[in-house]
Amino acid sequence: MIVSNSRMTGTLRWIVAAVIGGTVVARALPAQHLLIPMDDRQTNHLKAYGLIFNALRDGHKSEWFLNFRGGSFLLPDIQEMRRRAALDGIAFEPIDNGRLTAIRAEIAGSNMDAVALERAPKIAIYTPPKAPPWDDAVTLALQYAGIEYTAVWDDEVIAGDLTKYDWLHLHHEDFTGQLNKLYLGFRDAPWFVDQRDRGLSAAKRLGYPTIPALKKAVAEKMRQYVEQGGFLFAMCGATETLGLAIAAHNVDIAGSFADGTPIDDNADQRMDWSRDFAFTNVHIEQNAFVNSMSDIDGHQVNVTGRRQPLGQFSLFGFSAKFDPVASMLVQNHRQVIPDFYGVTTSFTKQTLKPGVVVMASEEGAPWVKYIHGDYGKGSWTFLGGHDPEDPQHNIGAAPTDLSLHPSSTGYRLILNNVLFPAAKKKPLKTLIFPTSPNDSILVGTSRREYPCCFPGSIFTSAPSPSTRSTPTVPSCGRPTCPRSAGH
Amino acid sequence: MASGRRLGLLLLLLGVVAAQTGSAQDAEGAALSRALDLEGTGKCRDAIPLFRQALGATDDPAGALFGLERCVAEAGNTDTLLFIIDSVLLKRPRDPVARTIQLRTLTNAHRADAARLAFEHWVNAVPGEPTPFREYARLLLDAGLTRTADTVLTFAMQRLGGGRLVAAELAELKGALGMWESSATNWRQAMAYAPYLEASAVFVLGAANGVARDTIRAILDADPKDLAIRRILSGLEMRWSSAREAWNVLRVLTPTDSVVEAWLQFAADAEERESWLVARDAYAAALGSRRQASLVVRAATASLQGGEPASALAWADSLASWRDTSHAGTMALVRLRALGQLGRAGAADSLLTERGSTFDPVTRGDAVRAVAWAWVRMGDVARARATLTRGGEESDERIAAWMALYDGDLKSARTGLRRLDEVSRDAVLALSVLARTRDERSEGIGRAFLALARSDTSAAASEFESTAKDVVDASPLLLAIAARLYRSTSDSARSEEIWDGLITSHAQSPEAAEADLEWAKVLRHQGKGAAAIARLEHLILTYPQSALVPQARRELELAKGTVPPAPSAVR
Repeated sequence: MIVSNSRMTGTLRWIVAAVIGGTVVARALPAQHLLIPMDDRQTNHLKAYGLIFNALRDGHKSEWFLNFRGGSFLLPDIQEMRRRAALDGIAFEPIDNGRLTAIRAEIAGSNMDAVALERAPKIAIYTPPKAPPWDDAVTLALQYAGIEYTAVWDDEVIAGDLTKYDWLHLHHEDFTGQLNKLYLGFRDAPWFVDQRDRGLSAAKRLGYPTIPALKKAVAEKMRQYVEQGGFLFAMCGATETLGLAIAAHNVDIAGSFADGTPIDDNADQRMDWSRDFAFTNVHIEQNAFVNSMSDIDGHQVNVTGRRQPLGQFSLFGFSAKFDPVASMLVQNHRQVIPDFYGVTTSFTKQTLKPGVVVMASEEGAPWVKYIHGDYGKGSWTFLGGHDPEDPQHNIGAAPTDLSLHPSSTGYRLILNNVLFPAAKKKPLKTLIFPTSPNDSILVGTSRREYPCCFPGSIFTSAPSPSTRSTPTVPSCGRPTCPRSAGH
Repeated sequence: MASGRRLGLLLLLLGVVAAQTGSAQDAEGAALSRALDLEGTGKCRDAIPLFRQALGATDDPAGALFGLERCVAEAGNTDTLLFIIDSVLLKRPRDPVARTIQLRTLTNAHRADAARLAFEHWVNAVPGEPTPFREYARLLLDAGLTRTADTVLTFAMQRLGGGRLVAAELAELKGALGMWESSATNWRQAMAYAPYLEASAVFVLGAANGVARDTIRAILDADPKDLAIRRILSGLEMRWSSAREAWNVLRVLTPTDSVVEAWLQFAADAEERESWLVARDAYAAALGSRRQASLVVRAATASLQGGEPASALAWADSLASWRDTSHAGTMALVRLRALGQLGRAGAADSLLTERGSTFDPVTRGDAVRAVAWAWVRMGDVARARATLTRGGEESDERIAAWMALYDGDLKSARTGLRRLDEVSRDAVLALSVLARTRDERSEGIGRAFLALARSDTSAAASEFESTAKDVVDASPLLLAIAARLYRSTSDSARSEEIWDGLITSHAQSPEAAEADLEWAKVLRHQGKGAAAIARLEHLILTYPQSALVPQARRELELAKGTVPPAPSAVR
């Protein structure tokens, strides 16, 4: 076949024009997706969570690539996302569908998973009115990341407003109503006087005789909130005292300096731990002069002679595909994190309930740092310590400036909790899981805890609750085993 | 007669013995001296026999032993050295130098078992003495064998009834293991018998991280406040924080002779670090106990160097009341310079007239130039010239360069100012302007800098702004300077107009990003958060490569209230 020169030239012109045109179009068009890496390439890990949260709030979809590059995120490549990332100094990588397919293949073939994030959770922070946002680590983190939240206090909780929120955070509130036993040391300090007066006035206003009575009622509302499907995240002293207040619903555990009556006889024996989220068999510290609530805290920072030094804690690895919730909660670019003190710094292993999932602990220590569990239809997560970037955190210390710690590993744990309620629920497949907190069990070894396999799972082993102290790896042979397949 | 002969024989014999002993000592001294000479010229092999010769004929073999150690080590013949040491130890089993060299040689040769055996022999040879433990532990620590050192020191504590006598070694060991609390405690104990190890303590403890530092501070800060321990803490503060903190540690001591000596040494160190005002304070403290004119001069000079001419002047006045004329010349020059820096050129000129004749020629030249410089800094070029003419001095490079700038001679000013090492704010500003334009003359720029020198900020701002039209290549910079000056006169409205112009008309200039940032800061302080945020976002998005972006992000955080505004008491 002979093709004339002129026709050939015309064809070539078309090809050249098409190539040039294609190049121009390709350059003008954005990539289809933005990958937000969360490994060491990320320049501001904390703000990245805010970017994702606000994208969800604005109706965009996102994905969380568990265990992929430190727990990266995927966003649609739209101008507004690029703008926000640039303003906040967040590193992002435009990727096309080809690259995304390769990433998904990598995820499918490894201990990784892609979790769809659907909507921004509504967040409530239990904090006194007019408290500055620098008062606790979570408000600090949310404020810095640009994540919206609503402050709630006793009035709102008692009025039942918690049902409006997906996520509730508590920090160093003392739910036993003893104001962290600071009465002896700080009773004349203006901030303490203000705190006490505020508590008394709230109790009076809401019809409770004392602060301990009010706080017990508040704690009960929070228990009901979780039972009915809420997510609770607590840090510092709230972890310990919430449990004490819930278990003490029929016991007076507040010293006479707090409510005018002595602690009940046999208080330890009368506590009802079946109602609590995480703890059991706890010994209450009844001495008003000892600045400790119980033996839940392993570090006892405010008790001379009992105080334990800070070490570092290691995050556990979980199966991203089978245990996405725990996986989400431990996403990080470092696995070993320096410890930090709080009114409650850690949780002694001896006081943990069977079924509690341990997500971080200090090797060789009799305490753990970061725990999670299901309760009724909801779930809870406790992280010991006050401020990950202020390990000592003395009273009167300056607030932490997170712009100096944009890649804080400890703060990432807090923000993991903020995003995890945004995850899309995956349908349960062949797995049957318990819904009552008493049905599940955690098998602990001296060094590491593994969630065990439950009755009815596709795996074979079904250790009974009494085997908690037996140092046995689940017979499914995995260091992790299937639990709730998402929320 | 016989007895007399016997006595004579005895005297003769004694004389011979004495002569032989003296000649042996002379020979040993000569051998050692020749050996050291040979070693000094690099002939170590030839020096070895002489060192051995010296070793055989002396009661104090330390010099010969050290020489042998150096030369044999260079020759690489360890066994020879060990053999010699063994022979010395047969005669002198308690000799610490021989024992130390033996241990060092065996440790360096990685003969751990032999070293341990040698150490045990030494311990048995001197029961109850800490030296073997100290020396061996130190060698092991230097070799990085911390675990073995730990064993040795534990053994020492058992044998010596506690760790007090090996506290320095324990301190070093604990420091190497990162056990800072124990290390600091041990250093405290060690200072009781080895205050000369203060520098070692600073070196070891200086490696502690942020959290451990407070613990170390608390231990070293505890009572009793011993000088040696305070010096360690001071040295640490010098490394960790600042000269000021280091001085705060020392100044609380009660001034005894040794404390004042320590203060003076600290002041000299601070001068070397150019922490002038801290040095001044240390001299001032020392003066409380030692009334010396030289200290007043040093305090005044340090004040002047530290940018506090008023303080220098006060020191000069205080010395005048002493009626001590030994430092009058130096102090008059200090006073002249202080007056000049304070803008009191007239007073400086009067002082020059009054005291100039008593100065030596060099001091007088310095004084004339100091006064001329004072006039220049006041923008009075005519009087500066008159002072130089009257003093018969030529203007120095600095004066000439600034006078050229005020005259609008940019070419000469550029050449002159570049040669100076002056880092004052005005010099930096002048150089930045001169670097941005190729113009050789600009009366306007000269007038602007002259107005600045006369502290007439409004006139300077106006001159910079109007000159921007003529000096086109430096126009954005001149406008930015004008805006900054208007801002300092609280004329924010005019500043904002200029910043707006820079952002719209000179968007590609480096000053555009700066204008965004400065404008945003002003808006934020005016409480116009939203407008400030808009400016900062504009900067970050429009000039993502600008060096000002980190600052802009910080301002953005503050404007949005996402970080704490300032340290405050929180629980």
